[in-house]
Order: sequence, then C-alpha cells, then structure tokens
Amino acid sequence: MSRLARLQALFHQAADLDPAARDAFLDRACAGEPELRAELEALLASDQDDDGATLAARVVPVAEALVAGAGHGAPGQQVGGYRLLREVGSGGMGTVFLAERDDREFHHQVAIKLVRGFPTSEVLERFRRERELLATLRHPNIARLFDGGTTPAGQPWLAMEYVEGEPLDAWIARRHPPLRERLRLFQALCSAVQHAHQQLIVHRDLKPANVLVRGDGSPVLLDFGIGKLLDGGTDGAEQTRLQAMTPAYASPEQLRGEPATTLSDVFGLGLVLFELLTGVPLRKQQGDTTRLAPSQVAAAGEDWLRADARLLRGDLDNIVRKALREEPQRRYASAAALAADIEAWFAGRPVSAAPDAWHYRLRKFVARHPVALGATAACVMALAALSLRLAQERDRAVAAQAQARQEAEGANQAAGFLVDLFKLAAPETTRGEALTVRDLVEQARGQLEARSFPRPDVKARLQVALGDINTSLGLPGPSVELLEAAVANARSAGDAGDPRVLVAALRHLARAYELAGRDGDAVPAAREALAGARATLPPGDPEIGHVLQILGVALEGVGDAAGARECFEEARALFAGAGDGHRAELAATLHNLGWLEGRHGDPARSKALLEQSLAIKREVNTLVHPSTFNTLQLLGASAARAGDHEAAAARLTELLAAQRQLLGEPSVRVAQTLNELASARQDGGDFAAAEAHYREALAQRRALAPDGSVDEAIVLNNLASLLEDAGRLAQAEAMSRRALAMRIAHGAQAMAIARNRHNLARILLAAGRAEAARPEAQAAAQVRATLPDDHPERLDSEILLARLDLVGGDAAAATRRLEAVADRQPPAPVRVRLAQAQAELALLRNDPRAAGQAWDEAQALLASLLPPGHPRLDRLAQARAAAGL
Amino acid sequence: MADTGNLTVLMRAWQAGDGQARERLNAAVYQELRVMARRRLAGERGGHTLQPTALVHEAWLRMADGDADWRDRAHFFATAALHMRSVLVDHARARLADKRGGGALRVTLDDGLAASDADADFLALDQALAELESEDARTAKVIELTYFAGLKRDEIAHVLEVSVPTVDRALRFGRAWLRQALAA
Repeated sequence: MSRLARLQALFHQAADLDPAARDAFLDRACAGEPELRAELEALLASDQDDDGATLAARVVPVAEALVAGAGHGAPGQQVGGYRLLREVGSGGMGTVFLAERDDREFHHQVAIKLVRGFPTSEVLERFRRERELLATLRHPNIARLFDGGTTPAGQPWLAMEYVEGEPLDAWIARRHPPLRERLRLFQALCSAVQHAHQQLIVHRDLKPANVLVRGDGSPVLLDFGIGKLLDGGTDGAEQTRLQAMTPAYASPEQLRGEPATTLSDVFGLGLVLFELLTGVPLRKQQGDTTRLAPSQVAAAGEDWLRADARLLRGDLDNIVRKALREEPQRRYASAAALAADIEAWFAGRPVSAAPDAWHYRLRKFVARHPVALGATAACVMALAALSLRLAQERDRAVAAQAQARQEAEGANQAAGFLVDLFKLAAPETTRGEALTVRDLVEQARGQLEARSFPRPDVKARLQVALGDINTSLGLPGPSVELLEAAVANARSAGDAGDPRVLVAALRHLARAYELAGRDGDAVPAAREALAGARATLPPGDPEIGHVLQILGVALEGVGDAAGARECFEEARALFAGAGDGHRAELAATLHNLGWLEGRHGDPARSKALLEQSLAIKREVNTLVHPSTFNTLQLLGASAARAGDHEAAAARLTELLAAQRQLLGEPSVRVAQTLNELASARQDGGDFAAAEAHYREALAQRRALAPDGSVDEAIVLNNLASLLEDAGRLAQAEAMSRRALAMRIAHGAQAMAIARNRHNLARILLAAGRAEAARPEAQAAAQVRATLPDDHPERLDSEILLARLDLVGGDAAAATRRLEAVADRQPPAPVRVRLAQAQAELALLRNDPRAAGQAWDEAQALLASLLPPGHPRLDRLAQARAAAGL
Repeated sequence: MADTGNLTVLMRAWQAGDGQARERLNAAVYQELRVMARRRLAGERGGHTLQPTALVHEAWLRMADGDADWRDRAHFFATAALHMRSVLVDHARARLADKRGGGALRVTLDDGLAASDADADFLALDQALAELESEDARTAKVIELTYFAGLKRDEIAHVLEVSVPTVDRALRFGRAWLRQALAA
C-alpha cells in the first residue's frame, strides 16, 4: 500500500471520530511514525465542512477573467503593433477590427481578426505554421495576410488587408448587377481559389459572406485563415476543426466529418454561383442538388432576376449542378475547370456539364448490361463527351484519318452506338432535357460553321456526324443543311480527300431528304452515293450495302417497289457474305425486305422475313437493343392487319417490355406501344385490357406533356371509341369532347380534327341526340370533301349524314347518299356501317325483309373481321333485336 | 457555433476509441463555452458570478441533441472538465506573464475582473492537483470533475466506474489534501 493510500485509509477511519477517540486512534495507528501522524493531523484539520467553497474560490475568478477577454477586444486596445479603431464585424471565427499601425512612420490600415481559438501551446504552434503558409498567398482577389501573433492573454490574432467593400450578398441585393458582371466576378473568385489550391491551401468555408466586393466591382476573398495544409504527414495539422466551418455552406463530405479537399471548395463555389444567379442562398431553397434548377429559382425571384432566368436554363443550370454534385469526384476537377465552363458559356461553346439525366440514363444502361458493355462502356462515354466538343472531335477526326482503316471503322461503330443513344435520349425526355440536348447540338453546329479547317473533307466528316445526330433528334431541317454543306465540302476536297467521306455524306443526305419527306431529292442523292461507292470501294464493301439500303427506302418512297426490292436483295447478299461482323446490317436488310413485302407483297413472306431479322438482332446484341423495336412493331402491325389480334398483342407486349427496360418511363415510345397494344386488345375483344392500356398511355402522355398534346388527344379519341363499342356512351362522349378540345388547342391537322368530330357525331347519334350530332358530322364532312371520293373516311361521313337524314325522315336524301357510297365499292369495315344504314333505311320504308337482309349482311361482314365472341358482334345483334328484326 | 448534430456523433466516436473525435469534441466544447460566456457577459453585466461549472452545464444543454443519453452526458462532462482546467491554466499563465513582462495594462470590460493574485492562486491549486494526480489519480479526477464540470456524486461514480461512497470518500480526502497543501 502506498503512503498516500495508507494516509487515506487512516484519514477515513479517523475523520468521523470525536476528538478524544480520534487521539486514541492516532496514538495506536501511528505508533513510532511521528511524521505520518503530523501529516494526518494536518489533513484532518483541513477537513472542513464548507462543501469545497475555498477551492471554488480559487477557480471562479480565473474563469471570469477568461470569459471576459475571450474572443473580444475593444477600440483603443493594442494588438501586436496595431491599435484597434472600431469593430467591423464578428462571426464564428472571432471579431474583426479596423486597426492601424501605430508606429507614426506610416499610417497603414489593416483588419485585425481576433481569432476565437484553442490557446494551448500545441494549437498555437499549428496556428503559427498556418499563418506562415497563408502569408504566401498573393492574388489580387485574395485578402493579404500581413502579420499575426498571440496577445498577452494568449489570444491568437491576424492582421489582414483591409478591404473597403460590401459583402457579396448585400452587393447583389443593392446593385442588381447584370448576369455578365456577376459571372465575371465569379470567374475572378474561381481564379483566387485556384491560386490557393496551387499552394495546397483549401479555403473550407466559401460563402458569400466571405466575399467582399470593392467599389470597382472586383471581389476579394476573405478568411483563408482556416486553410488546411494539404501536404500531409504533419501531426494533426490536417485535423478537421469542427468550429471552423459554417454548416449551412459546408460540403456533404465536411458534414460527414471527412476532411475537406479542393473539391469541397468547388462545392462552395457552386453555392456561391447559385446565390449569384438566383439572389438567394441554396440551403433556404432546400434543394435536392441533383434536381437543382437555378433558372427556375431565378424565374420565381425579383423582377431583375426574372429577366435573366431564360439565359440560365440549360447550361448554367447544369454547371451549378455539376459543381454541387454530392460525390466529390463527380464535381468539376478544379476551380479552374469550373471557370473554364463559364468561359465556354460566354463563348457560346458547349459546356462540359452535360445534363445529368443523360449520364444517368447511360450509366443505368451500362449497369444493366455490365458484361456486354463492360469493354465498350468507357469508349462510349468518351465518345459521348467528344461528340459535343468539336474542338476535340476535330483532332480526333484528323487522327482517325491517319489511323488504320479497321480502327476508324471501330470508331464509326462506336459513334453509331452513340447516335443510337441520342435517338433514345431525345424524344422521350421531358421537354427541358430534350431542349438541352438540342441546344448542345445547335451550339455544336454554330461552332462547326465558325471554324476553319485546313482540309475540307475533315469538316465534311464532322458535318456528317452532326447531321446524323440531327436526324436522330428528329430535326431533318438542320440535318439537310448540314449534310448538303458536307457534300459540298467533300466535293471541294477533290482527289486529295477521302472518297468515303463523300459517299457517306451523300448517303446520309439521302436519308435526311427522305425523313424530310423529300423522296424526289433522296433518290438522286442515293444514286450518286451508290455510284461513288461502287467506283471507289472494293466490291462487297459494307458501305455499298448501306447505300443500297438507303436507295431502296428512297425508291419505295417514289413508288418504285421493284427497284427497292432489287436494292434490298443486293444488300442482303452483300451482308450475308460479309461475315459475322455484319450480322446486324443483315438483320436490318431483312427487316427492310419484310417491310417491303408487307406493303407490296405477301404478308406471310413479310412475317417470315421480319422474324428472321428479329432472331438475328437478338443473337447479335445479346441484350435489348433499340434496333429490335422497329421489327417487333412491324410484326405486331402486320399481325393486326392480318386479323391475328392475339399474335399482334403478343408482339406488342414483348415490345413494351423491351422499351420499358431500355427507355424508362415516361417515354413517348412506351406510350405509342401502349396505344397500339390497346388497339390490338380492342380489336381482339378484350375491352378491359384495352381500357387499362389506353389509360396507362394517357398517364404517360400526361407526364410527358402536362398541358396536354395532340398525342394525348389521339389516345383520348381511341379510348372514346372503345367506350362507344362497349356501349358506355356518356363516358365516350365526354372523352371524345376532351380529345376534340385538346386537338383544337394544340393546333392539330384539320383532317384529324374532322375525324374527331365525325366520331363525336356518331357517338351522339347512338345516344339519340341527332340534333347535337348534325353540326359535328357536317363540319367533318366538309373537311373530308377534299379527300379522294373513294376514301374510306369520306365514305364514312356520307353514311353518317345519310343516317342523320333518316332521323329527319328524309329517305330520298339518305338513299342517294347510300347508293353513291355503294358505288365506290368500299372496304369491309365501311361496308358493315353501310349495311347497317341500309337496314335503317329499309325499316323507314317499312320493308322488313330488305332490312333483315341488310342486317344479315352487316353481321356476316363484321363476323369476318372480328374474332368470335367479340363484344361488337353482340352489340350488333342487340341493335337488331331492338329494331324488332 | 459548432453543429450540435455532431456532438453526439463525436462523443460516440470518441467512446469507440477514435482519438481524433476526442480532439474535435474538445474543440467544439471549447468554442461553445467561449461563445456562451461572451454572450452572458454582454447581457448580464455586473455582480454575476460566472461559475465555470454552470457554463459547462449550459453548454451541455445547448449542444446536446435529443439523441444523447446519460452516458453521453457523463463523457461530455468528463471532457469538459479536463478542458476547462487546461483553458484556465493557460489563461492564468498568460496573464501572469503579461504582468511580469511589463506589457501594456489590459483593458477589460469590467475593472473588477482585472488580473490579480487570483491567477497565482489558481495556478497553485492546479499545481497541487497535479501533485495529487501523480500519487492518486482517481482522487484527483474526482476533484476535477467536481470543480471543473460540476458533476454530482452519482455522475462521477458512473464516469469513473466506482461506487458512490468511494466518490464521497475521495472528495472528502481530496479537498482536505488540497487545502492542506495550499496552506503549507
């Protein structure tokens, strides 16, 4: 037992004894140890019952003195060689005073910051080291650090450049600077931060309050005082200090307690940029940083901000989003890169901050198909970025020229996939995102026009690529312009150029013409491309096959089905002999042949060809690929035309699953397929499934275009016809009216509006409201009078008007109309309606036998068109029974 | 002010053996103590006795979130006590050095709070406590938790993982020992 432990044990034994007993106890316990006894007696004498007040009295005054001086200061006080003049600010870091050097030789004003700190010797040492480092920062937009030290009371202080200016947020609120000025100021801040990062100093607390704007509008960044040494290996110097950041502006990694890096400052710059653009701090918006839209915030802001909101949409929105990404590695790699993107915006060049959704989609696609795509994903990603950066694209194209042909072909294939992705990205995205992609392409086009190229065929190559992208985006106008220019450039290169470029330009131009509806122009362009390809390329070259495909489609467009078949057959032979690398092209050719057969030949042969094509596409791609969509759709459509509604529904269901997997929702294509599938179900008699699909198609359309659209009206009109077939006339009428109003509101074609009016009139008549039906039917007929006089729609209008004549008792007029229709030998569906009208006419003439015959004909015709048990057959039988026949 | 949401996290990390968390916790506590003390002085000038222990309690109330339990509280106070002591020592030393170095007279907010022998008295107490620590660390700790964190007996018993009577005895002996040492 140690001496103190023994002392303690004896102390406790003696402490509560009365004086006499205590003496006796001490005599006994300390016998022969007088020193021990003396010590014990002194201790017992000090055992006062004051609840420790005498000790507390020694602690409290020091505590009071400490808190009195903590982090404070007062005018007149001397700090280092400076005299404090007045307090100019205070915050989490401490208090700032305007001060002046007091040596009478020169009056030099500085800002003195009395830092709230941690005045242990270890911390003071760290403070001193950081101060020396910070003194090395020399940048016009960073407040200089002149001096620093520790007050006699142990409080650290800094002497900094005194900046006469106002805080950034106040400056914005007061001056309403134009967008250009705000962005230039932001670039200056980026340059200041970049300078610090090059010295391995991180700011860690970038926020508008740390930026002062001088009278001349230049910004000064304050408070690099909490910079962190990045060079590592220093004992605890890189320690994160919790008090030295502002949670509202801290980056996600700082909030998680991870060390701040230069990328945390990029995040801080993003917050500053957000506030510069919108006039409000981000955190008050409680924005999900992945969906941030500064343009929308600005659009909801004050007048002067609203004026610029349109300019923010797209690129600047994306720049802010990229700076504020949750994951540091997805942000800009540096403050300089961020400033460069702003510069690109000024110059009208594409920015590197691509829309997030696009990346997201690509990433998701890659994630779903890791094995198939693993090797090519990086290449595709790189190409995706390159295609929008013409400066690099040009270098790449030049390099590609010098490369081996095989390599160039590989690049072309990857680019082809990129184009496929654009096809996916463009139409089904929401309006804003689609706009952004188009904006980028439009900018790329302007960029390309403005640039000069030493070799015109290189420029042509780029114009071809960009033209193809425009085609994929469904913009045949710009596409034709670009490709015509490409052809001109390729021609001007003459013998020095790559002949393949001219062939490719002509081929793409032919396709663009065809998509623009200019079949007449497409044929000569495709013929010239073919002649060029045959002249310059070895027989069997895949490019010849590509040109044949385009020429075939163009020839079909001008009515030359035989010529088209020749082209497709030659292409089929070519690709079939080109080896395994060209199976996809073979599948495309088989698809085209199947399509041609479907239109001009044998449905069974068409089906066989399409199925062959589909099998190869699936074998080649091993994954769902957009190229299978068209084939599945054609197979579904041809099955529906052949009356095989089950097969059609099966194909379309398959297509729907593939599109959902690849495209996501909502998607224009998914909505289209749902509509077709619903139609197949309706024709097959499964009304419940049809209604469900129509309604889902409606929901997707509504999600894509919240204000309604012509496309939504088409689905509404179809649903109305389903409800009509099901005898739900009131609902059918409501749906039909909505479709009509929407078509009118969105500027639908006159013929489509007429179709809608006609259907509405038919529904109204069925509901016994002939007077309401008449004006709609007449308006529709008036528009349809411009159609050829044997057109089914025109004939349908005549039949409907005849039925309205019958309701009005005008049998003569009805007879004239119906006889005229019969003379035109209408197709079966029209004949069903004709026979029904004839039965009604016979009834009016009191000729039950003729009426019965007409009913028989109508029922037999309809039975030949629909599967057994279809609800429409039942309804027709019911109508006959109601007429008493 | 430190982000209060981090306090509990830091304490848990520290309890789990993360030394860096402890330093960050220290920094957070210290910062809060200073901010609070300054605000109090500004608002409650004159005659108000600033007990450091009251500051620590107030710091706890301000910094702890709903997530913190009594274990967190005990560890927080243990940290705060240690910290409070070293802060006061540094401060007293700096003021004594200032006087000895003949530097300009400090201007304080309240004349009554000007530097005095209190600094020397306090440093003597700290010295005695350090001596006690070298001989009987547990008793010294009980004193520290009492005077620099204001912990109650049962709380100290929890922090030091001893019984309450043991705390009582240590407190009684420690006080007597210190008084005797300071009187000598």
